[in-house]
Amino acid sequence: LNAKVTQHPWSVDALFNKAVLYVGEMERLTADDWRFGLWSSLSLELLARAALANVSPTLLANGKDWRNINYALGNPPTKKGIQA
Amino acid sequence: VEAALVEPQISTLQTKIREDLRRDGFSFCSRLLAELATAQVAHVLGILVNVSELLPESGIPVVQTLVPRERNEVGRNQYSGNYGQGKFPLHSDLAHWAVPPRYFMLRCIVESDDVFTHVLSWAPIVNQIGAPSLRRAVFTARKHRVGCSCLVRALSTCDGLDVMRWDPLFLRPLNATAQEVALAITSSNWNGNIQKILLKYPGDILLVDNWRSLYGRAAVPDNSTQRQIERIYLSEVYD
Repeated sequence: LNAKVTQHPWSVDALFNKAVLYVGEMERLTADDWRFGLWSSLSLELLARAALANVSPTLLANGKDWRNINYALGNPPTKKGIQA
Repeated sequence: VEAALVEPQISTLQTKIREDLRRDGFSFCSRLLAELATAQVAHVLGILVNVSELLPESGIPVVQTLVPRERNEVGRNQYSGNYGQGKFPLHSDLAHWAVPPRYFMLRCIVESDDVFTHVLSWAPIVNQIGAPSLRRAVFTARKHRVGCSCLVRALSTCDGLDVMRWDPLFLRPLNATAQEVALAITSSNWNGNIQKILLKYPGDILLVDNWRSLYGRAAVPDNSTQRQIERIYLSEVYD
């Protein structure tokens, strides 16, 4: 029951909360609107990601990139700057 | 502590507090161990949350002293910076945290006769709005932290327990359901359900279940500006 200030963007709660938000966007539209499908697919992806994060956020990482795995483990990003 | 209370008294006290919390979402004890420091009293009741460890850059100590202040005396990141000595609306403490502290204890240091602390159980709110709507209500923190998700829901689950939260100042509704929840909480008349508690004597404590109750403060009249309360967060209350 420890208090927690922030949550990792790849945590179950963060992903599920975002999925709930996107489902709300979807529900504002009718099923024949093209945006309904867009929000629906985005929600589904987030739900799938949340399900994986429920096992471990490392399942969301690119397994060939140690920086990505390191980030999934809850450490700060290690990549500096933007490469062209 | 052992000199002030013997083991059976500590056990009786802990049982009373646990039952109060379970039944009402808060517990009040008058002049409890008034000769001890607030942190020592909290140690008797449960496990402390070390805010200075969780937020080292904030400079917030484990025991925080709350005194009435004018709006211009403190930053806008505090309730006093927005409401001054006026009435504080009902809210959860640290509602914008990913997981707010489970309990907090308010302890009277300098008394006042007419500044009440308001406590409202979530039960009537859940009855009126409905748990499904609260679970779908997504809010974001007013101040965004880079690299973190700031999305929270009015009703979520932590370790199998319901966490209910609301703050009209530091949480911003993000979806239509959250706007409806915000409107329902702020526009409904909860007066019949609000418990008004007076920390009247030094050593009076109010322990609040922050996941099951909202709290606020009445306006501070000019003759009560000396009021001083200490606050400490707890993650658990002993059985």
